Amino acid sequence: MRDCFVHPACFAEKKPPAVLRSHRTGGPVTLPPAGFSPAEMGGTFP
Amino acid sequence: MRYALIGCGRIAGRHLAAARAASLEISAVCDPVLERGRELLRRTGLGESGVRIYADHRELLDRERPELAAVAAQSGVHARVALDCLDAGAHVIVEKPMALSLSDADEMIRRAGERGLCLVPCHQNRFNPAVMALRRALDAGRFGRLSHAALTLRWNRDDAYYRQADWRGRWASDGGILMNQCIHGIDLLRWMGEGEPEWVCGALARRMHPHIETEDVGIAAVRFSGGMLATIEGSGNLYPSNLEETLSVFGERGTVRLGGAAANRIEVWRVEGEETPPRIEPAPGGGQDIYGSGHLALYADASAAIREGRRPFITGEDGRAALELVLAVYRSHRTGGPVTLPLAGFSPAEMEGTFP
Repeated sequence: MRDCFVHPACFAEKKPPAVLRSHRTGGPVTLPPAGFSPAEMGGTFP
Repeated sequence: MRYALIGCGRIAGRHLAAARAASLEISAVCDPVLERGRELLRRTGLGESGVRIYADHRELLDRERPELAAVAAQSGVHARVALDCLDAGAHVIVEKPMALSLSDADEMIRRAGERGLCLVPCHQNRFNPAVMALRRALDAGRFGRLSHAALTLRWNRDDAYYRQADWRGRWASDGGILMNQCIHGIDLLRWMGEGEPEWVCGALARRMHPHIETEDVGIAAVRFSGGMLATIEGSGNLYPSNLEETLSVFGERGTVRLGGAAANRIEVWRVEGEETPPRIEPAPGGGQDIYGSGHLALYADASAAIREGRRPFITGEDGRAALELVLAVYRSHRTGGPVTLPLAGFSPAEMEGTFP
């Protein structure tokens, strides 16, 4: 079963959109992603 | 100016109409199936005009010595036929995609340059009045900095379309919806973009046509060197018929969406300091179907460029740039990751087996 990226509760559980991670890693991301939070996007656009 | 058309298929009538409008002397047409040539001439009112029909383009070139030749044969032979035309000393108008590989496109550009001949790929949608209006606004800096752009091609290419000819929907002779149809919009996207595409990540699927080899839907994200982003969505799976082709551009001071059948109508024009959209003159002959009226303008420009000894408005380099972006999406799908441009050496033949 896929992790949910849409429901606010899921954000609260730190399951952010795979899109963010894809940008950060510079490549595709397979779902469900493991262990990634928006905090890791810090510094993306200096 | 003596002119010949090589390839008498689906788009050939547009070429002959544009050649007539440009007052070219149509000396001959060519198709391996002679009856297609005869039917084309009948359909375009040239049946009794003395236009000769050939099955072999090399024989046509040898006997007719056209000054300008148009290549509208199947995509897989565009490069080979165009090179033969250039070698015979003819300027060339070539349907899109100008070639299926970058090495072929490079050779065409090189040989045209070496011989001082014009090479004009048919990216005629650049001449759509709505497209020209957008380009002029961008050139004038009306949008400020660009944020992003979005291209959508939502058309219907059903089984009957693919069954028209064996070469359609094959990697080696055609490519899929991005290569054959969406390449017009991809050319426009690249033309409107701030800088050059430098990063592409794409995915393809064959969802509705199991008997073809190629994609019938493709999606890509693109980053340009200036930082702007873009998306590409191309599909031939729209039920029950063509829906739209749109190009949206979003800048600091401007939001514009071109739409209609083939990005030939201004649907949204919100630009700082402009109360109303620019006035668009009706295209000659209507031009509201998917082909627009651009072939007329393209032929007028190409023939003027030849007479005046200048570069045409649309160049071989433009055709190569559009091809490169399509190939980058293909390669991204094939490798499963992002691709950086410029792209070195890739052709649709390497896509064989993508959708078993």
